[in-house]
Amino acid sequence: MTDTGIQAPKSALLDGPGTAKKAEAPLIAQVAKAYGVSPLRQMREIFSMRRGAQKLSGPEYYSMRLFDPSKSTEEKRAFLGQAGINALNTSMNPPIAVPTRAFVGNKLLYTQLLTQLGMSTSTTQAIFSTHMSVGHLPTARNAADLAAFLRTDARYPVFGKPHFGSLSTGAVRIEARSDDMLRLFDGTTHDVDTFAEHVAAQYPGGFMLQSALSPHSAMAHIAGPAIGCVRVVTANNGSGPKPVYAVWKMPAAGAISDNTWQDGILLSHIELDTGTLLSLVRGTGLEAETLSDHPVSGAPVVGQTLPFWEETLRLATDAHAVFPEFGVCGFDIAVTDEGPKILECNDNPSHMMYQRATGRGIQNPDLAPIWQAVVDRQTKQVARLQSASKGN
Amino acid sequence: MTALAQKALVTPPINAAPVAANTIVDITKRYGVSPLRQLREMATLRFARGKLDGHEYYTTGAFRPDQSMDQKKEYVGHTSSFAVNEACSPLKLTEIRAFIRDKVPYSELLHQYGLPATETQAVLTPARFFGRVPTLRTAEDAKAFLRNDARYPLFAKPVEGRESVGSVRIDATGADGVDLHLGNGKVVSLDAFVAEIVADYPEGYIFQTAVHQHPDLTAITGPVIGTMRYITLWDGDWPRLLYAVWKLPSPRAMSDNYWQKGSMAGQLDRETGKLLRVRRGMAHQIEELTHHPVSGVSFDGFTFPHWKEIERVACDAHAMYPEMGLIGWDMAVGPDGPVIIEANDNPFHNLYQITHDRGVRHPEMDEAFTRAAARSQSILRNKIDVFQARQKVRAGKA
Repeated sequence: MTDTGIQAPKSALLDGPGTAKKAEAPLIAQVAKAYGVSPLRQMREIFSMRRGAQKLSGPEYYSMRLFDPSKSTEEKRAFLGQAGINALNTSMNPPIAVPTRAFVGNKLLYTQLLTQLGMSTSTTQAIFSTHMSVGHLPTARNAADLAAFLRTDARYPVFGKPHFGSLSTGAVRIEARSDDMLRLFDGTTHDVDTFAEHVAAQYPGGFMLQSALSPHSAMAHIAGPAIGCVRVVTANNGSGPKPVYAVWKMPAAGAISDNTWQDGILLSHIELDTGTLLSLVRGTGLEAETLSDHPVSGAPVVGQTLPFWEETLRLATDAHAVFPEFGVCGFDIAVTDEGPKILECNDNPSHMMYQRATGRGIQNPDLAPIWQAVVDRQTKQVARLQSASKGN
Repeated sequence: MTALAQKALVTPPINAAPVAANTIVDITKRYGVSPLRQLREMATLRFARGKLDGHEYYTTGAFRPDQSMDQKKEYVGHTSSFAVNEACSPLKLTEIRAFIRDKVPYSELLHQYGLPATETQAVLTPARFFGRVPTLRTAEDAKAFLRNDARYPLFAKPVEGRESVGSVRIDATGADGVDLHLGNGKVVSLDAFVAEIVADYPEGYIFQTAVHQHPDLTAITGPVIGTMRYITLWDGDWPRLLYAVWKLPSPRAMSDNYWQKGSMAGQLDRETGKLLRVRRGMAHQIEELTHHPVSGVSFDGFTFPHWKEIERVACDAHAMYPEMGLIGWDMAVGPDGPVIIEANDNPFHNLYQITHDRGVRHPEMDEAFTRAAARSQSILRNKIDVFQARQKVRAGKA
């Protein structure tokens, strides 16, 4: 019942990222030359940041430009590597206190629940699953069923993705069907039967077919026609969910999604009070660029204000309050002409995009107390639950 | 907690007490099983796969001398019941169960998929948000809801809880809005009722529209809902009914839990929904009934309405969670068909043992459990394999 056949090459579906590449010797030399930081000092810093809560790897040291001598030691100490982020998030969403993580990670069921509760999200037209059933929602059981749906019932454009998974792996946007050919967002065409067989082989555990969304016209003017989600991270220290930070992820030119591992993606830090875009960055490490206008459309970015901002934040905090046991949530929200829509909730949001968009560590003096208050709440909650469990 | 004597809500059962001497004596007299034999069997069954505690030796009926030791070993106590369920739905594979236990959103999701479930009118909760489902934040909000907005009759219960503890059926408010008329005939002060739920259930309290029971069932039991415990097991490529038991409420109760004095349970035929046997009580006090003790209606020949539709709804609802090998449904049956009240990820199988007069781990049932457990282990292994393969693919791209 789980997803197999994962090595099928050159598919219509989006492939996932690889792991971060190890630092190459020339990079060390380039940093030494460009920033005057000796290789020995770089090594010392990498070694130091690998330990403790930071858990930074060598490649992360470079991708986040922590070699930059203009950053103080305190500022560098505020950065976390992905392993450190995972540990921080686990202490804010400990499994024993947040048992609903598995449900929230199920994109199909989670978004359908939001729909039922009247919260705006994407519309699922059908699913493919060899074994799962979800009431009256059309379900394709095999490749032939899926092909039949794509030929007769699908309302295009359609966005497809697995029920489970992350980083947009397996995602596809189908613009239209003409006879037996599907036209994808990137302009390529695929035979309906071949496409259906490929999905069936890759994702027997579940693949959802949703009505594809288009970005708000003001955002499309800047970043193009693909959805670039706003990532809103909310935290709950026991006094109710509140937004902590927000970043707009602008897809790379020609991409169907906004994952930060895709080359060319742009990140913009958003001022929480106003929805104003504060920064624009592209790339990482030595190749990182700080911009003010979009490099493809030429439209100004920094200083612009996102539409439906109040509604976007309210939607995120309302959705967090459905499962207030979560200490931290990372919502991916598409802002459309009709308003904001939640696409998914991440129980382990990668704060890398904040660190890249702002140039500040996630444990900076503004945010560290917020995380600590959440950790304190969950530490007490875990102790309560463990005590109750022993009592039984 | 408020004082027990003042409570409007259903209070919890007393914890299992040590076996009373008179139970041992009664069984010796009635069944001819000597105290020494009882103790010897208790010791044997405690360490057998059914892991029966001392009191479970009696409540399951394992003391009866007309059964062989092999048959006695087919009975399960709480510990072994959990082990059977966990084998069918391994904890590592079924983290989704936390959501299944989450009563309000679980029922709402069933509605989204067109499956019949209870209607939540409002939830008293200090901080949680349920979108279009109204939330009541304070005692004053709850009082205002009960006086002005509630559509009676209501069935109300804690957000967290089981076995009907803390539940209540409210038929109406008094004419002056000061009192509440409960399903068991009591009249209580609305203010005192709200104070009770706020004090005893700080995590939250749910107000649902009471399900209107099918007239065929009401003719037997009266208006209090008698739900069915309906167990589905994933067997082969789809869930199927494993067994079904009708829980007939005690005549003075507001719900149908078997621990409430006077409650009855009935064995149902899997194919037809025909009522095969009704029993009341436990251990040596168990009795078989041919007629309902209050209505006087004969149980003979009674068949559950909407039987095929019940199966469809339960299996479809199970199929939303294919990683769950076994689910226990509490289903009410209304005039138009079944209504899912709750799903239980760890149902206790003693109702089966009481009504079917045999242990739940008899060979036929055990084979079904084994098949479901094997399927779950296969899924788990496959998930691990896929995860590891993906990790390798990712590492290979580096």
